[in-house]
Amino acid sequence: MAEFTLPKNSKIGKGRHFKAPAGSTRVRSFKVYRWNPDDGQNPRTDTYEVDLDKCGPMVLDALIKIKNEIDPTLTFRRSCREGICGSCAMNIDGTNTLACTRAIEDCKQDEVPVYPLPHMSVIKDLVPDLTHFYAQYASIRPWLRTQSAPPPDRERLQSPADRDKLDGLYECILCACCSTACPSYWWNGERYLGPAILLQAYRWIVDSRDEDTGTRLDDLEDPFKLYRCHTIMNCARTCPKGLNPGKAIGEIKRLMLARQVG
Amino acid sequence: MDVEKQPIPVIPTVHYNMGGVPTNYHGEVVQLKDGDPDAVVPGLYAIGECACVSVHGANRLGSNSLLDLVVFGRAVANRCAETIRPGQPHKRLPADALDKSLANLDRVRHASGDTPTAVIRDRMQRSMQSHAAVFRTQETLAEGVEQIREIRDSFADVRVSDRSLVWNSDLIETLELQNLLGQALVTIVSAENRKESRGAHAREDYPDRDDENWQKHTLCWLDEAGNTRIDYRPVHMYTLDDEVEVVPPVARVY
Repeated sequence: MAEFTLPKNSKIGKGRHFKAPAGSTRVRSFKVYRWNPDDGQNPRTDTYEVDLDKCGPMVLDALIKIKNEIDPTLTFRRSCREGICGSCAMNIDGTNTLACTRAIEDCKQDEVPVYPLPHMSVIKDLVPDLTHFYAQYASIRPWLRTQSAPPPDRERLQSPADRDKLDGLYECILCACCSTACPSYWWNGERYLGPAILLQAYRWIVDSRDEDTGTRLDDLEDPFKLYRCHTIMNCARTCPKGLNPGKAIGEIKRLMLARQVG
Repeated sequence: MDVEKQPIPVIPTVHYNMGGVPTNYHGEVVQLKDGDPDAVVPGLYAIGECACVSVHGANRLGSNSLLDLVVFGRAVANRCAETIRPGQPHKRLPADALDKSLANLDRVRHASGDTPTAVIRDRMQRSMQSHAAVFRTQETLAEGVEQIREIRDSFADVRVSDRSLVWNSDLIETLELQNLLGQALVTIVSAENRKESRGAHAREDYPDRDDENWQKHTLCWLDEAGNTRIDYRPVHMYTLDDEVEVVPPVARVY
């Protein structure tokens, strides 16, 4: 029989509430998903009150402040704190985004909910398991594949017009916000490559220097890998870099069709 | 802040560590041994920011770190291919080779002092920022040496809250801090010791480069009790072939 509620051990309970220190002037609360694989307990949400007058402007600043000053056990990935490494991708205020580029001021809910990327296995707290996502990335063999011998005395060149075709693609930092916002990826994530990986696939297909376009398209000719995109477009809506994976997927589909009729 | 109305605050901060484990141009670690400053430590290599091949001396030039990785990463691979025979077995390690590291991991993981990692780290960062900053004087450096010694000692009272062995970033940050405290101490002790200005080491009380006394690398040893010992190794003033002449240091002027 279909099960419509979460299994017992997945139900999220109410956790601890950490009050802001007395005398705090501008308090904002963050409701953060917590799960520790070691303690055998259900996941819970802990609420942390943070004085914004003593905190940087971004959600990541608040998380670091919480870890440094309130609760060192809070666990999350972070590295560059400037939107280029993709480590701190998480679900903030209901949207997948990067904690380091999301301003606290722009969050709408009073108690800002902070959850791991949706529909991923959680390793601990806000850290999702990206093993499968990276394996899918490796599966498209994301590097320049050539058949011709390289020029003896210089690099493989590209015209400015051809280089322009990579705009809107090369900026992808593989943070996984888009793929984990995609209902098709939620249901068929094992076999559907998802928007991030397909955008990357298109980035190599459209590269004028790559000579393996036919094989790349052959590899995607599959009922699941590519065609589970139903243009829901959550990907473009959520992308913290302002990219449009749905459009890239559309371009791949167009090329598939063009070579069938052509 | 509103950038249309207020100036954006700008502050210099550390983003790269010059110096490191001394190596030759193959990436092989060298040590001062029986008067030989280039004695290779067999089988030990260092690449990247942890290493000091010293291509640009005391200057932090753009692309230093790229050079560290790309050029010397390849050099180390080539050296390994040259020196290691296929199927060559490892030397037998002493049975207790890992005991010290595991004991340290265990001690840090269960550290239950009174000072959280973040507090000690913040003190270290602030002290280094104000005492080993861009422009230095004897006074600030000497004061910084005392402070950093004291902060390093305070690590004995560190508190780790997360005891887990799964993705324990509290533990990792504490192990990183343990390493950084040693780095900070040898950095500031060496800076205090060098009475001249050279490259990125800019001293207001010694504004000039002093080749007669200081054209040499500082070597600094740190023992577990926190004692430091300083010695030197000479600068290689020669090139590897005769394609180019050696480039002597000149004053950097703007």
